[in-house]
Amino acid sequence: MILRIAFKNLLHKPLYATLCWLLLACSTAVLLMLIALSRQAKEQLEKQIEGVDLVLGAKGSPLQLILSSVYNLDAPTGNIYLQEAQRFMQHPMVESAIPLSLGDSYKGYRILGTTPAYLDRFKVQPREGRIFSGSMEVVIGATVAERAGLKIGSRFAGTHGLEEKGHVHEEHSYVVVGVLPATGLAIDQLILTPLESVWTIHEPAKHLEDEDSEHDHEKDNAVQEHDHGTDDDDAHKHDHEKADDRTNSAAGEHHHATDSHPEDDHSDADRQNAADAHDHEDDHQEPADHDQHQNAVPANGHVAATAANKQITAVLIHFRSPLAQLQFPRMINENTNMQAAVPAIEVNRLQSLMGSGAEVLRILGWLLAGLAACSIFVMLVQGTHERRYELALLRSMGSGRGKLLGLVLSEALILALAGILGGFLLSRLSLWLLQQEVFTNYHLTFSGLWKITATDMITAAAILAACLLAALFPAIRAFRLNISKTLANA
Amino acid sequence: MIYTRNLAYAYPNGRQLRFPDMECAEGRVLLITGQSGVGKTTLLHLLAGLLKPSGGEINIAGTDIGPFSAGAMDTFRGKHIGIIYQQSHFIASLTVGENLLLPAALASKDHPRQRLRNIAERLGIHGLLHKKPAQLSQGEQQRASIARALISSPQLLLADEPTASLDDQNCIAVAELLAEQAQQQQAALLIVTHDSRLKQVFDHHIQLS
Repeated sequence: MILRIAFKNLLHKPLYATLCWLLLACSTAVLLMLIALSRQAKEQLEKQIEGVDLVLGAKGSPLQLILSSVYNLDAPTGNIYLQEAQRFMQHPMVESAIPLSLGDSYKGYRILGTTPAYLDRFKVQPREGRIFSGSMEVVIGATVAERAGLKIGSRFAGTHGLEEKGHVHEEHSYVVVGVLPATGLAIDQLILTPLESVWTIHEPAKHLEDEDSEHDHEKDNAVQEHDHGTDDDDAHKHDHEKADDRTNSAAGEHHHATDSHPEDDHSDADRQNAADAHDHEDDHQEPADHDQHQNAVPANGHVAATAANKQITAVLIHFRSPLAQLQFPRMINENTNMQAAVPAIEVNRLQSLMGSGAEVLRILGWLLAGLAACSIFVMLVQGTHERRYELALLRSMGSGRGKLLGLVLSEALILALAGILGGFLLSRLSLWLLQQEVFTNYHLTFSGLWKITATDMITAAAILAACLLAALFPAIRAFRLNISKTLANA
Repeated sequence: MIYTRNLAYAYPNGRQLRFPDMECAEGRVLLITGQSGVGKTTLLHLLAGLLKPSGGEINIAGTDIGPFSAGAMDTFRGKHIGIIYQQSHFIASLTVGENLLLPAALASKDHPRQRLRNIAERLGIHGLLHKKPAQLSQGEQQRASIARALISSPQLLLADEPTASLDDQNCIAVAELLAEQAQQQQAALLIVTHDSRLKQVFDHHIQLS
């Protein structure tokens, strides 16, 4: 009966009640959304770096290197020579090393040249089909399969660069041989192919790219970088690092971070390259290697050591002992033209960067919750004052003081529960919308949308407690109401 | 049904009030009159257990209510006493019907819907049960508050100036209605008033001074 009166009292003042409810729902939504987002970010960030102790890549921002190679988010820093990287990949302290080559995409999904070891790292096997075994074969992530409408046997041509629009490598088409199960990780959004595919594609297409290379260079977001692998020999190394020093924008067409040729050399050189690409190849590669990279991936995923001037984007390294983590970065950063970035450090840096933004939002959320509690306080103080005759009447009709206390607290409780529930639904709705709009663009998957964590419960409990605390003073006033005086003054 | 012995009350400011002994049996009416300020409302609140007397005894239905705690008094009041106020107060957010059922609901009695219908019909307000109290006229509100006082079949009915705001015709009608209902329920009815018109209706009466 008391609950019923409390509910009716709230309905009797719909505007006030709605205001309180809205404030509560908004504050709850902000706080719960924040919790879900940071949980998701943490999960995504930490799951991805599992088993990666060090990332070897071109010089540039270490955070960028981690983002591009581990999270597949940012543009790569540039390319490195496989031969140079192999010195470290085969180091006795290294347990496993996975080479990566980025550069092309399909419908905005990155095509990642790598070895089957990449799949082993995430312990995933194709849910359909098989692992790629030859050049131009791809295994696609679950999201790619779903959104790009690809299935086993589908053929498609990659787009140059990581943007949705760009030059399409029409002359080479990939064939889907495997589809991965959904993992909730970045791998869902990837198209995996042997390193050889990337090299194959960018080798005969040389002359085409040359023609519009100037144009590409000027693109601000020209994140395309190409492995021109076999085309470039030592004589044709170019330094394309632009004055702005941003390696990724400088990346443009050719990453030859290790060379130091003047810029104006390059078109001549490339033209020459295009003309006698195959000659160069034959000159510098053993025939067996040539065949191999055209047709087959070595079974062990090990890239042939003879690939003297093949380029890759990054190498994910897992050490045998943590000790190596101390020596390796210095060894690489000081003695080579490559850089070594430690994912754990960069992730911490990233989280502290995002942390301050989240902190502001969190303060805002609690401020809103405080406002909501204040509005409940005002509503109940005013309400118990206006309705003091009603309260006295209830007492005179035989309801005890406890029931009056309960009545006022119930009003706050009903509002708080409705507000928290509304806020919860609101937060999930906005996360869902975020997923539809924003996350898709960043190729993020938001998993466990409806999951309720302990932190969610604690936040909800804190808001509930704040509301009840706000109701405590008016409730005690109702409890201590002098009914005789109140009724006599009626 | 109800009697008092040497009833006294001390206001917080020290002023003392002494009340004459009074007694009222089931089905009877006792009119208590007096000028404003002689403590009529205080007496009613004492009888209802809303105030604690400083001395003397109040016995209702064979129980001395003096030793009751606030909580026990609330329960006892809910069970045995119905109060009709000069100004009718209702829970504004509930309908008239819900308001009338409140005393029974608060006393955790089963909802006497049949009884509600009977009483409402007797008082001529059965068509108003679904309305909000604010939509009722003064006279309708007064009748509704009488109905509410009757709903849980109390053995003692206390009325505080029930006719003060009514015209002569309605005054007599309400007074007779009250007496009739008390009679039907075998309840003792105590009316506290300064309204001398009621003296014509009830012969049993005490003057406070």
